[in-house]
Amino acid sequence: MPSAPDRRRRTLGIALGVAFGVAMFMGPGPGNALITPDPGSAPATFLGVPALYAWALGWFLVQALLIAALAAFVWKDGPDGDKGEGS
Amino acid sequence: MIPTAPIFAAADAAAAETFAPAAKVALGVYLLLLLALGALGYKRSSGGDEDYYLAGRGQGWIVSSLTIMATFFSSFALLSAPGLVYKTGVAFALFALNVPFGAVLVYVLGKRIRQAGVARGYVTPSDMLADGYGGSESVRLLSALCGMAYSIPYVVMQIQAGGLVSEILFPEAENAFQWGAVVLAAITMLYIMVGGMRSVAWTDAIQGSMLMGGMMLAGVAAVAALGGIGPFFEKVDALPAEALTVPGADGAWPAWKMLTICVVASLGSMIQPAQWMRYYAARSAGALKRSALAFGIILPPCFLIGVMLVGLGGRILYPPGVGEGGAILASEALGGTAKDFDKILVVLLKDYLPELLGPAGAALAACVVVAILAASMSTADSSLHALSAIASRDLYQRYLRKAASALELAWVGRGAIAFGTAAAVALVLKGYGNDHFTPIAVIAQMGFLAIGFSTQLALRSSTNSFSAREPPPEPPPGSSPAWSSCSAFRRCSA
Repeated sequence: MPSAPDRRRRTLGIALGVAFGVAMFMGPGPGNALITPDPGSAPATFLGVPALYAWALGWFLVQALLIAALAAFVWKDGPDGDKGEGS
Repeated sequence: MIPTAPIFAAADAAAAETFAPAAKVALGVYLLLLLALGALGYKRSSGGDEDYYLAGRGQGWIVSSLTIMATFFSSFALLSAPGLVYKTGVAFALFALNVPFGAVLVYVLGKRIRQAGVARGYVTPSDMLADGYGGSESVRLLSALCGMAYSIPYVVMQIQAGGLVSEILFPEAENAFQWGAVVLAAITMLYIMVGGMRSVAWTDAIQGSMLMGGMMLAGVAAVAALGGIGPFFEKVDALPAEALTVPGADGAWPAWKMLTICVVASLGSMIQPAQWMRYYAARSAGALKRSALAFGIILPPCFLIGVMLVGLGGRILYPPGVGEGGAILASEALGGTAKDFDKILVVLLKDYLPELLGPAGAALAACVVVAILAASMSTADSSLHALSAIASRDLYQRYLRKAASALELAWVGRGAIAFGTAAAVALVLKGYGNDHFTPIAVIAQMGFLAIGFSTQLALRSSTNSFSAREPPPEPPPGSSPAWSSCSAFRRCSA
């Protein structure tokens, strides 16, 4: 039976994994249709930057935050632990 | 081919005079450093194939992360990626979002692969895959052939890129392409043969740093060439609508296709034989965790803020032309054909860095061109090293001489490196300037086949290996029996 912290970690891992999947779907995937202009109309901009480029940067930030959260709260060093770092 | 005509304007004569000697110095220092690291790797080695192929399974996170990054990014990062943005526009910038997914795989798959490798003494991917299928010889053979099919195209394409870079560095030299390809191949072969994985990883660390520095510098140069961030994006906003939206100017990148490529390319890249062996070589799961973090947070900005801006800036500075049937062609400044898009980064840097910074800019441009060479070598060395492990352990020892000693295997591995390098060089030289020589295109397709096949094997085998080797975690009450298998996508009990 997994301990309570392990169950919480697993739940958090699943939640972050789902969020990462959503980020993949929204960033490079069909989610970007939300900012695709109608045919014939000018592409949108966001703070002076093409909206699609800003979209890519934004979803990268989401992915980076999710990876940082996974590393901090979900991923373990493993049973053998760290034997010291560096090269 | 990369343009070999003089690129510097007459007003930049001083810069042009600086570029050639700076390129020679940068290249000389770089190549000497590689050879020195090869020798150092040899001195530090303790003998044995585990040391030669996996650096004694003792790589810390700094070297692990840099060698994983350098193996992931080939010359594609500095030549093809900006070329594709130049050709299609912002749509291809979304491709950078495959990198964070690769980072997740470094830990999620890498940790389990490493854990099984340590527990069972695996050295090659085939060791683990065959074991995962109950010791199946067919799977072993298939995965070995698949690994070779993945590695060979990479080696060929990187050596070819080395020849092209040599043409840029030494435009006046006779047979610069041929000499460049041969010298790159020979030095790469030498330091792998001498120092094994330790040398490959150390040189990858240097090459990876150069590559990332070069990518960021190129992006900054592109923005500076257009007057800074504000003017840069003003001009980008004025580009044709199809260059700023999905599916891109050539219509090649609809969203579902981009998503598929991001997922499959990442998965295929992160389980290629060279990366797989890096997971075995990591000192600890913690080293892979930190590698994944570095990979996911440092590399994407190199793409998004580095080379992608080169492609967009290039569209403004060198507007693409239109050929027969509406096909997009590169600007005349790049060569004017549909094969010239990949030159955008080099042409832009050589044109504008000297203009911005004078001789110092020419020297920096030379360093970035050497970084492209580093990108080629870092992928070629990893693939050749993996190829030698597959040839010696999976094929020679398994099917020709089961009783082969460690020394004999090491020499067979070195022989495979020499043979693989020589064959790749021969293909590249034969294909140079010969549009009708198709084997290179065919073996490039082999790489895609290998990605598809190995992706399927890895997931299934990872599941089997771990359920067979480790005590499964306790299933939660009421869960199905299938829950208890410890798969690649489910944490194993520690």
